Amino acid sequence: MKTLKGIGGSKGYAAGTAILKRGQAKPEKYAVTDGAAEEARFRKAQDVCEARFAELEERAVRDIGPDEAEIFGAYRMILRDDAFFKKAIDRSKSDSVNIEYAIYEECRGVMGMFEAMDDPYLKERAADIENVCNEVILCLSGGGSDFAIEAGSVSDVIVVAEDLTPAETVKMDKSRIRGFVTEKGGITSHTVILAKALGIPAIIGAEGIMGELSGKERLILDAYEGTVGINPDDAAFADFMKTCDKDKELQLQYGLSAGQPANTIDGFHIDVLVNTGDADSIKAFDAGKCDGIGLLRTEFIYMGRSDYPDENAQYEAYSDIARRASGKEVIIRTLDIGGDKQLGYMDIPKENNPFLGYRAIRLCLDRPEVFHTQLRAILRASSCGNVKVMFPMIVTLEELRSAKECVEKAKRSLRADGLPFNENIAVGIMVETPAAALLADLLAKEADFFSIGSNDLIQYVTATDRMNDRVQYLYDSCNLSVLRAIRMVAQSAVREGIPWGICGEVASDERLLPVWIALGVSELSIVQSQVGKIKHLIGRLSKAGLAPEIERMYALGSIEEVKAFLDGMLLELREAR
Amino acid sequence: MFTDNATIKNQTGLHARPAAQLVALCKKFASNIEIAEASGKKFDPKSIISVLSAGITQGTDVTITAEGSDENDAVVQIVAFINDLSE
Repeated sequence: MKTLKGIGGSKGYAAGTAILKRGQAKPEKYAVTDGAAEEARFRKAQDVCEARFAELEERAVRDIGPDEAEIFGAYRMILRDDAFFKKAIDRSKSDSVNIEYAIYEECRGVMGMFEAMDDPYLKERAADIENVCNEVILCLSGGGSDFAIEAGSVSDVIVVAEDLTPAETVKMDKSRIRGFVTEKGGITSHTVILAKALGIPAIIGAEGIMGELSGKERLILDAYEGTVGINPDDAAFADFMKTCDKDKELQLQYGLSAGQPANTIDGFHIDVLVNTGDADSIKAFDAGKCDGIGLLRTEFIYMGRSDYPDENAQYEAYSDIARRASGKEVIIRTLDIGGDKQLGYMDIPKENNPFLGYRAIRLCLDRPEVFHTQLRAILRASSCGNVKVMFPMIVTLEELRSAKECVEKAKRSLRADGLPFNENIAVGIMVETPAAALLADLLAKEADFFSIGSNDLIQYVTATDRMNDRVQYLYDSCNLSVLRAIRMVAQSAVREGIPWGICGEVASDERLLPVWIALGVSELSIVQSQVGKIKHLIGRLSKAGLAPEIERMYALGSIEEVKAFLDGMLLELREAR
Repeated sequence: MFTDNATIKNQTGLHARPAAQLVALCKKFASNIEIAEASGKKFDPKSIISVLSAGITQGTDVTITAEGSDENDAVVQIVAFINDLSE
């Protein structure tokens, strides 16, 4: 079996028959004498395409969703670009060539302008323009290949193409498609978006696949790894189908788990929330598929602007999210910015060592008016849902006290203005510095909750820049000092009776999950795609059963031993499935 | 003829929605409109393809020129539109 490697754009396994979708060839060129007749042909084709796009838009709304359908609105705008098509008509007249060839040439000229740009977003728009021109040319030349005919009576179709356009994908009979493989396309391409929306695996960037196939080959797709197997023998195929079935069952269970409360076998409850803070993931946030937002990064509100966002703009953003969480927790982290992320209007001096510099709570306490505006907006949003506030980068008790005093001051000013807010809003801190971990016993007496920011904690505890490749080997979530620091924080929180959570990458690390459970974690905040899986795993573990095991792990003397120990536990858990 | 300057401030530049909105706005005017970058490169703001292929990014200074019956209105509204862009 020959195997090709690409990138898994939409995860999953699929098996089926390869149906090739070949790109469009250059249109035929021939001489014309009647330029006006060519223009008339174009106008007719323009109308036909317009109607076709409208129909595809309707189908896309019905079959896929309004977001994917939006592209056809953009197509219609391109189709009605008179300035562009006038150039093609003029070229057809002046050169006495057929209109489809003239459009092809004009389109190539425009594509040349896009080639110099390296912005992935603009590359996608160039593809839109090319797609529209191709549709018009196809319509003018009367026909083109119909996907339904190529696929014939094949019931499990794997669509293989150089690239797929939205118009092509919408026209396909989705009930028979099991997977997509394309040579081109990025992880944000239409093929991937469509595949994700349909829940179909897709592999992109599988260079050379079109040359390997002639059509109707049997294919097996592993879109987790991004591999395409061509013509597997019966044994390999049977093996693959077994993996598929197991995965299908697991995915089904994960999907069900996401919306359910997560309790360990011995009844210990853990909230599994999501991290968010960019337009896409905020838009995608669904309170029905998690227990709320464990980390709302607020930097996005400050970016792409010429001045600080005002209170109302912030209030609108926070309150909208709070309402959408429908009563579930939303932890809003105050501004965490520093010299590594330059925002012109903030005028932060350049620093040699921004991660140890003027940033996060340090900057906010130094610029009280900026902090005051954000705190007022967060407090106001607390009247719209279960909002909590969290300070990043805390190092000393004094910082926590000053920040809490700022919250009190914001409360007083809101009372004076007669604006509603939650008087008892919970105020917590990120534990992401060694200083905060070492001081956790005292901080736990004055903070309402802890959230361990593991990404920074690992970096600071191990003194390892996580962007520096040469020292990456030291940046390790199983580093003993890191694990000890986390245990210290957990024990302090448990002693004072405050909730503690984790909001870094390690929160969704299967291997470390038993450690967090044994330490009595209250909240794990992770990416949405992992929620079902983590909740499912929690349901298969017992806190009381893990405690002595993890006690033994903490007695081990090297990172390698810890890893081997945890891997062993994970393997046992997997085999028990 | 009427001319004024503006700077593209939003992070993504003249992409997608802003580009489409700009074209829709410009098409409302009868005047001939032209937008030029500081480098002298020009594009036709009534053509979506022309706007997109200009690849205008954040921080670009542009000069808007209109000529026709509603030239003042056109330039004033386009400058206001560009100044309001934020994402």
